[in-house]
Amino acid sequence: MTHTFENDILFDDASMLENIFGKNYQGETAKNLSPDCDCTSYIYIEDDDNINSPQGARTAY
Amino acid sequence: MTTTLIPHKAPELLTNLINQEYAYVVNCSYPNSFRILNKSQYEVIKAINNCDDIKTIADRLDIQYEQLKNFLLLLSKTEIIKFDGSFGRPKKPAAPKSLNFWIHTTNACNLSCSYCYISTLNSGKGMNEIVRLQLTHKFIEAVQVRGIKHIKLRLAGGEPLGQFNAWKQFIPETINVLANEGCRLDAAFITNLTILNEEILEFSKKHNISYGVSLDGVDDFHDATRSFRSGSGSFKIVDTNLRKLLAENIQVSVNTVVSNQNLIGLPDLTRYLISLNVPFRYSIVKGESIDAELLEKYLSASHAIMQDAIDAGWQFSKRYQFCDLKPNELGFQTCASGFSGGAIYVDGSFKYCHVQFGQNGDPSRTIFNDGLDLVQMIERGEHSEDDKSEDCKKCRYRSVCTSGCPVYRVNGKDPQCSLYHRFIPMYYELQGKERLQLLRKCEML
Repeated sequence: MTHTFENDILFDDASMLENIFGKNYQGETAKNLSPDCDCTSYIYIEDDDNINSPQGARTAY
Repeated sequence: MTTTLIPHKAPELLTNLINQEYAYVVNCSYPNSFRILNKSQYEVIKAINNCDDIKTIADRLDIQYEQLKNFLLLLSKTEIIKFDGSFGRPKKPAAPKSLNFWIHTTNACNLSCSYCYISTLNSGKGMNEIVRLQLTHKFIEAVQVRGIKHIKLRLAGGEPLGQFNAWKQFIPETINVLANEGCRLDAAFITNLTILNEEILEFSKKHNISYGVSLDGVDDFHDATRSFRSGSGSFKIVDTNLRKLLAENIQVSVNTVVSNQNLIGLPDLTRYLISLNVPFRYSIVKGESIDAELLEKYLSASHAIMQDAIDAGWQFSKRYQFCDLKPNELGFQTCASGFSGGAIYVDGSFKYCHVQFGQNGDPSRTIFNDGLDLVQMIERGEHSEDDKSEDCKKCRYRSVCTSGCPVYRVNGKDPQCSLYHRFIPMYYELQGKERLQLLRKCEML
């Protein structure tokens, strides 16, 4: 049965898609785009701290 | 105690309705924060005024306190909201751990494109063995001295595939030698794709070589500007070779520079690229004027075609890029120049950007200068990337646009700034439609 999420306050599309397509679903969007056709910016490495908030690092690709 | 928690919206938050039932929300300063909201969630976002606490909002919207708190905690993971008001944004790491170089492999080209920016085109020869050996030496030095973990080379020209025999040895050897030092090397050809054979295809598959292909339009629109020296057009050959790369699952993307010459052909090109299911990027010509009215008209027509394709399941956000905008991954600067990359000419001289080839520069900026490693060479060179207008520094989209190409800014801004302000919300709306389509396909809506 398909659950209806329309009025579910905890509706979470990002988690749903990660469950199906993998943890880095959102990040893959950027990585697979046109990496050779734009003026590529810095590629973050896993141990880079790339967000300047106290919340901490998050890999951006 | 928890009732005193006050949610604050991200200052660069953008939220809009996609249709009557769903909206999107994104923090334009936090990577990959885009998400879909249903109507109840959208009402919550609208109700957050940076003053009222959770309980007050829960009472006003008639939502259970715990449920609302859990929803807000979910949003706080990607800084859509925060409880302490201290929002972050992409920052420049203290030092680069990845490098990205544009390599000018040759001045020779088999096409005579009307707008080619290489002032030294068809003069001299390709990069020789001595320069390539020095490149490898400098890469190893950067890995050993600077702890570089990833190097990306974009082999351009001139036409780099005309130099394939020179690079087919360099690439695997350098991949191996850097792998032994703990560094990954990726290489891509930036090509007109008129030269492709079985050997190149096999090599590309074996060594995971990717391709960036220049395409100005379909048929006559491409041929009008990208012809062989004989005068005949190159579209049919490019089309054949593009399909070969795709059939072999070799990573390829297409770049189209939109100018007055080809903008009328943009809708047909959009249909063509969508039908091939190839990633593509439309960028606006730099350094020359473009008819703003016609640009808006044909871009809008192209985006309408994309909308129809999304409805049919086309993966918009994985296939389309507009200029150098980074709506999801975001950035602290537009390109690698000045921090983690630059451009290396056939003779080993080092430039901030490849559009500067042929211009006089500091003679000490060369890969043959053993007093400077590659990171030092970048650090001590030009830093146009930091020249941003005060408007840009305060702009909601500063991490999406990063003020555009640093070489072609006007008063610290991308000349297409106003177009971006209209396009970026529309991009997110299309991404929202794509997301809804995918959720329906997965039977989650």
